[in-house]
Amino acid sequence: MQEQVRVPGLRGERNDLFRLLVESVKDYAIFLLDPNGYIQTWNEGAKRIKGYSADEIIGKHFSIFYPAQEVRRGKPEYELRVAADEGRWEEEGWRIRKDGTRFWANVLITALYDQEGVLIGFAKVTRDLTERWQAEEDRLTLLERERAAHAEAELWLEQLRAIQQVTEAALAHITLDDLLRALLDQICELQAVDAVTVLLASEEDDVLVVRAASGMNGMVGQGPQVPMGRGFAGRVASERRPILLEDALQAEMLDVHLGDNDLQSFLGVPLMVAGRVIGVLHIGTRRYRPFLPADVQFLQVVADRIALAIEHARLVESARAARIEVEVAERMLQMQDEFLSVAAHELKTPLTSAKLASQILCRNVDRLPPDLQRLRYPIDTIDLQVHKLSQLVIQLLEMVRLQAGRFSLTVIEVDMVALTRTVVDLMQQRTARHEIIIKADGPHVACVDTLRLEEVLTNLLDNAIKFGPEQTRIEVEVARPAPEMIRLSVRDYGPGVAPEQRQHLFERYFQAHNESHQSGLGLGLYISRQIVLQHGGQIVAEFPPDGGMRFVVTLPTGLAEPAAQDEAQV
Amino acid sequence: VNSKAARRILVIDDDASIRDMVALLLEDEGYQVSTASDGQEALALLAQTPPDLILLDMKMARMDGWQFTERYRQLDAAQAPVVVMTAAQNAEARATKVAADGFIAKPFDLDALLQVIAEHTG
Repeated sequence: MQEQVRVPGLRGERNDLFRLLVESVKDYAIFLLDPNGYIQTWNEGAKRIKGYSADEIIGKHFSIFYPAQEVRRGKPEYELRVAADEGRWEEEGWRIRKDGTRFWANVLITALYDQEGVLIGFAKVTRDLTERWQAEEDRLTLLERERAAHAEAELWLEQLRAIQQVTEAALAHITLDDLLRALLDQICELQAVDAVTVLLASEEDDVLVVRAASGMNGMVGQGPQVPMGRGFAGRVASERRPILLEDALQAEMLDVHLGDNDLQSFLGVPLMVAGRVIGVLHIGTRRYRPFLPADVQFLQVVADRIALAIEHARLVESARAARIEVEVAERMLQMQDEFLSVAAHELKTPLTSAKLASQILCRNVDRLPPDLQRLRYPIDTIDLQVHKLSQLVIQLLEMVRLQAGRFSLTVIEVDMVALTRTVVDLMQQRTARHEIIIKADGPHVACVDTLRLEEVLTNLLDNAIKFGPEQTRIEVEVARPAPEMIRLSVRDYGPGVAPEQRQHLFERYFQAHNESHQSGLGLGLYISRQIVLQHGGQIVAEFPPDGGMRFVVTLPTGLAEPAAQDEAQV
Repeated sequence: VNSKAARRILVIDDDASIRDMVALLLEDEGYQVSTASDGQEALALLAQTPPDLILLDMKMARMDGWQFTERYRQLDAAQAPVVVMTAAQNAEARATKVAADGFIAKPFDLDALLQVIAEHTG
């Protein structure tokens, strides 16, 4: 049985109601203490929270609920004193259940006085806040963890940023060597290690060569090579994973490049780009240091960046090399162009006046007195040879341009019949031994490089004159077999070309009749063919049954396409 | 004697023998010929007697064919046709660039020269 709660000052009936209320409250332990702290009443909430039944607890001192340590310090008595002096005491703190477990309690002790003001006891209300406390505690723990994680991430980020700064600077401009030097120093500092080494795989991929080192004596440039798959660095590369070497003094697999540097603990990670191992990065300390997973992780991140930077630097390097090559080639081409231009000018200028001079002489030779008529032959010879020399110079220059890929056409619309007549008239003056006959049926306009087409016709007629026997005809024909096509042909009655040699006719330096000193450089037909091809045309040699040969040039008129009028570049 | 008598031709070339040969030939043909060794000299000559045709070399030391045509086009004086004589590989392209009326590639034949002159002096 539980003693009834009686509140002084309340009359019987209402006191009974109040007692019922207090007793039935389950969430709060509500009970009375006598002035010395002995428990006088007990309710349902107290039983639930503290675990004692009313029979067990009534009459016991309330210090039973306090941790032993606090009891020793006299805290329960202190609380009662404060409550008696000030009317109440409130706190949150640990309390002990019957089974010895703790719970976090909100405790309110209120002093009770009678009408005369004499202390008659205390009302104690206790609430179990363990859950709330736990939630708060969890929250604080979480917060703390978050803060720690954040701090760690910050530190990590800081280190990465330092590495990144270096690699980004590298990506911007510096050379691979500068980059590696800067990176290695940075890693030494960040990881608090004594040595850092970067080894790169050789081109054959069979050995690793020390490319850069910090804190290592005389390793770089001396070429110590570590075979792939062997030793510490060699294994990191071949196994494509980080390897820890905690005590090098105990290791059998020490590499030659680690040498006499007095290093004890090593951590190595592979440098990988797109799944390919391009080298190894390792760090080492003089004192024993068991590297942690975080160290491995960090070094691998750094290694990835270094690998990328190396790859980038290599790309930049090869791009630069390629650019220099192009620049050199362009400079050479430009010099060649300039030389060609100067050579053309220097060769053609004297030829021009010599040609004019010889032609003036030719024109006036008839007016020489009879005793000087014998000069006619030397004068004609000069004229003929100057013409030959001019053709050779033009061919040589064209040849060089063709070989340099600097051959371009300048096309305009021109009547091919008129163009042919001009060339034929000029060529007829050079030969009294042949009759050049033109067959043409009206103006045939085409878009061509006139100088080049004149060159083609001159070459073909030169050949015909050169090899055609005296008093034979040379037949030139201009026709338009189709609306968009012009056909030019030059027919001679000379010896032709032996069947086995015909396939070589348009080849460079080919001489059909090399026993004869008549032959030129073997460039005329080659260049003529190139000119015709660049016009989108064709040139073939035919060998009619009645002897001699016929060159047939077919050219597109080029009128349908306005674009053909632009300067065409080879 | 004929219509050529009235035709005045200005030959501009820095090569003396070309200049002289062309002049000799054209005078034989009945043209009135004046010569200049570069663009600057030519501009001075033009001021005195405007020609009916200009034979112009491109590559000259003091004022070349490009500079000359540029300056010539700016003159108020009546413009004579310009025929470019050049040793360059792409004579036609050169002529097009300075908007010349005709061109002739060095080394040229005398007949070819006379023909191009006749074309442009009507």
